[in-house]
Amino acid sequence: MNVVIMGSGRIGARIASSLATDGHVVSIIEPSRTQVMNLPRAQVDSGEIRLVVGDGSSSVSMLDAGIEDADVFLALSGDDALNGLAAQKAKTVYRTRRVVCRVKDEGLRELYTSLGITVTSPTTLVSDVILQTVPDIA
Amino acid sequence: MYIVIIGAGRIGFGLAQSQLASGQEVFLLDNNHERVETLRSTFGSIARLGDGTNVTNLREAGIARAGLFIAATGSDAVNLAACQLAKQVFNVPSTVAVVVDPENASLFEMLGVDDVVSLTDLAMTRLAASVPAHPVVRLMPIAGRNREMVAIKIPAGAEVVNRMLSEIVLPYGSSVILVIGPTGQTEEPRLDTVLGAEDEVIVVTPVEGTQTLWETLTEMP
Repeated sequence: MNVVIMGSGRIGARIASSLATDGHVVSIIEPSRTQVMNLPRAQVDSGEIRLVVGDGSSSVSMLDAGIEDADVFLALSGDDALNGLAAQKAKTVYRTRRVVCRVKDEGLRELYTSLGITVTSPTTLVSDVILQTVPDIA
Repeated sequence: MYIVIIGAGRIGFGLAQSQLASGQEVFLLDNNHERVETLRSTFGSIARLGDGTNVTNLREAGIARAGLFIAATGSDAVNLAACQLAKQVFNVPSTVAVVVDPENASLFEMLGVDDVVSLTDLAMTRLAASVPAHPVVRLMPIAGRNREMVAIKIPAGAEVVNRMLSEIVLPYGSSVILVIGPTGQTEEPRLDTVLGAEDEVIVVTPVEGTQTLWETLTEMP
């Protein structure tokens, strides 16, 4: 599948690496050139992961990353509002079939869910996992 | 009317000033301490520190009873998220977003923001009007009608020079509302109005017809 990821923080980089290893076509958009340290150098150099440095929510970056042929768009930057904008753009303008948006803020999580966007919150997920490991206090 | 504004930069400050002067009730949210203090020391307690994309902060600003919500921070993404919260969560009847990136304007309208103000488009309009050879000057969008008012200067030697308006086929839905001669005299257009070189023609046109309109009025034989 063709996957476009916005944000190469630890989560974005890890997902990109794992999907590329499984043979998917992965492009990753990252606004900051210094953040790309998180990406596995070998996979970027070999072209397994295509890196686009640019503003994640601009059409220029999204088109450059191949959004028009993407099956999946993952908005995984650390900025909730930016993720929301990019996710809605992918859905509305480029008709990307599967769009996932990472959101920290509870209110925005409810908003985006009500707008039909698949939302994931690392904070909630991690908290749940931690609570499961100590069932006697949960 | 009660107006909630997020972003107390130059736009937010100016809005607060003009709306207070005209007797409206205004409240501003900004995440910058200094900007909030400037507003409070100038206008009293009409501002507080807060995040425009945070439901709790918006609720504390009294957004639930606002008749108008204006998102004027420097971030397009924040302005969209805030307007969507205002509409979806708090049912604010009217929302306005300022955008820096002009390509976000139509997207935000599609996503339900009632009115979008594109700073870049506004600046480009003014700049286009102050340089000598301008193709089309977009004077004003006609809100909610998918039409805009534009000004086009007829170049010397264009095919339409010395022709009557009734002879010129304009895009469907376009109408000439004013013709301004090279020395500034204005003429209300009639069917027998003859266009001259260097005339400035003011037209209201469907947005998708603007390009054709420009080609028609500037085409050389």
